[in-house]
Amino acid sequence: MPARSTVRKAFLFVVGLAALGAAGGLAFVYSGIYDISAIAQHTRPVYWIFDVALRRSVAIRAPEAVPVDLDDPELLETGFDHYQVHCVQCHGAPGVAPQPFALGMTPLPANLAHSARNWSPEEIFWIVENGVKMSGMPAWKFRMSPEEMWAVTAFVMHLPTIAPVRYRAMVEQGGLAGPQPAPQLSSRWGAP
Amino acid sequence: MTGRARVLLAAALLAAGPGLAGAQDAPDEGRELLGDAETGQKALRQYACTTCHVVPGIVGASVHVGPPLEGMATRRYIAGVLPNRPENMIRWLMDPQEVDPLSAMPDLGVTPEHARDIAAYLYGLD
Amino acid sequence: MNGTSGAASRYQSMETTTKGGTTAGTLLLALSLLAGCGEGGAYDAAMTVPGGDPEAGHFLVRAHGCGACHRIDGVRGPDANVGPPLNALSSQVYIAGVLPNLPENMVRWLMDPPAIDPRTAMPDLGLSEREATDIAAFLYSLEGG
Repeated sequence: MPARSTVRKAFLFVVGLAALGAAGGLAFVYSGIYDISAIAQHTRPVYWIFDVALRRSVAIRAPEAVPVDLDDPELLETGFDHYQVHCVQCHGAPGVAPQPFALGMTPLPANLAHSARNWSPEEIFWIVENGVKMSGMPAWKFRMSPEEMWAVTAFVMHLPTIAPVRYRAMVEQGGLAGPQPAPQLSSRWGAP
Repeated sequence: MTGRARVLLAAALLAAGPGLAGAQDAPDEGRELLGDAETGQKALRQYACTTCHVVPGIVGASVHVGPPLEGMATRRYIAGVLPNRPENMIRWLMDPQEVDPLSAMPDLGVTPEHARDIAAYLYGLD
Repeated sequence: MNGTSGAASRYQSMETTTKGGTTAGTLLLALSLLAGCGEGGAYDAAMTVPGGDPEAGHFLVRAHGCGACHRIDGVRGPDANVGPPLNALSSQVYIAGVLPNLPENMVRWLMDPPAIDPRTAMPDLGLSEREATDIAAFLYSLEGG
C-alpha cells in the first residue's frame, strides 16, 4: 500500500531528524563552545527566552491577592529594615550602588525601583519568597516569615516614590521616622 | 521669522547657552582622554550601567530608570548638569553625586581607566 | 487587598484594565508579553496627570520650543540632543535623574527645574501650573522606548 509506506517514511524521517537534533544538542553542550562567562553577554534570543520564561513562570504562580495594606507605615518600617539588611547589597537603592561583587553578576540584579513599576506586588512577593533559579536571587521562604516578606514587598513597591536624597536621610536616621509624615504612594513623599 | 521660530531659537539659545560655542566639536576636544571602546562595552555591564539605562549594542531589558544613552556622542549635557566633554564624562562616571548631590546615579566605584573606556564606548553612540 | 489608597488601589485599577479589557486587548497584552516587552506594572495606570490635556500639551510643547533641546515623538525640530530624548519618559523612574517620576513631581519640575535641582541646565520656562499639567499629560502619552 503506497499510502501506508509514505506515512511510514515520513515517520522515520521525523524520528531521524529528532535524533539528529538531540545528538547535535548534546555535542554542542559537551563541546564547551557555549561561553558560560559572566562577562560575555547573552545573545538576544537567549536573553529573550530567559526574560519571557521568568515573566510567565512568575505570573502563573504569584498569589492572587495582597493580604496586607501596602501603605501601612509600620509595615514599611519593617520592610525598610529588612531591605537594608538583605536586599541593598545586590540591588542597591535610590542613589545607592550595589556592593562591588553584585556588579559582576550575570544577570545583573534588577534595579527594584524599576521592578516595582513593572511587576505587581503579588509577583514581587513570589520572587522574594521563591527566588529565581540561575539568577543568583535567593529564596527567602525558609528565612523570613510571610509578614516580613510582605513588608519587604511593600517597601519595594514604594521605592519609585523615594528621591535619592530622601533615601539617604532614611539611612542616616535609621528609618522612615522624621519630619516627613508616614508615606503613601499617592503622596508627594520623597520630594527633595 | 515667525513668532514660533523666534521662541524656538530663544529656547535653544537659553538652554544651550553655555555649551553652544564649543559644542560642535565638544566630543573631539579631549579625545585623547578616551580609552578603548571595546573594553568599555564590557565595563558598561560590569558596572551595572544596563540595570538603569538602555544602551545600544548591549543586550538587556528595556530598562528606563535613567535616560537612554543612545546619542551620547552628540548630547550637549551630561545628566543635564555638565557640558558634555570627555573630561566631564569621565568625572561624572567616576562619582556622579560629587557633581550633582541630588542624582539617583550612585558612585559605582568606576576606576579612571574604566571610566575612559566607558566614555569611549558612549562617544561611539550617535 | 485592604489598602484603599496607594499601591493597592493602583494595582486594582491596573487589574481592571487588564481583566476587564477586550479580547483584542488581551491578545495585544499576550503579544507584547511574547515580544519580551510586556510591562504590566502597578504604576502604569497611575501615570496619568489629573486634569491634564495631552492635546493642549502637544501644542504647548511645540509653542515653547521643547524640541530645541529634546527629541520628542510628534514634535518636529532640529533633531536636538541638548538634553535626553523624552519619548520613554512615562516609563522612566526618575525625572532628570533626581525626582521620583510621579505626575505631581513632573508638573513641579516643568514649572521651575532650577528650583528643584540648582545644577540643571534646563531653564525656568515660566510655565503656569495649567500649562505644565497639560505638557506633563502629553509627555506621559508618549510610548517610545
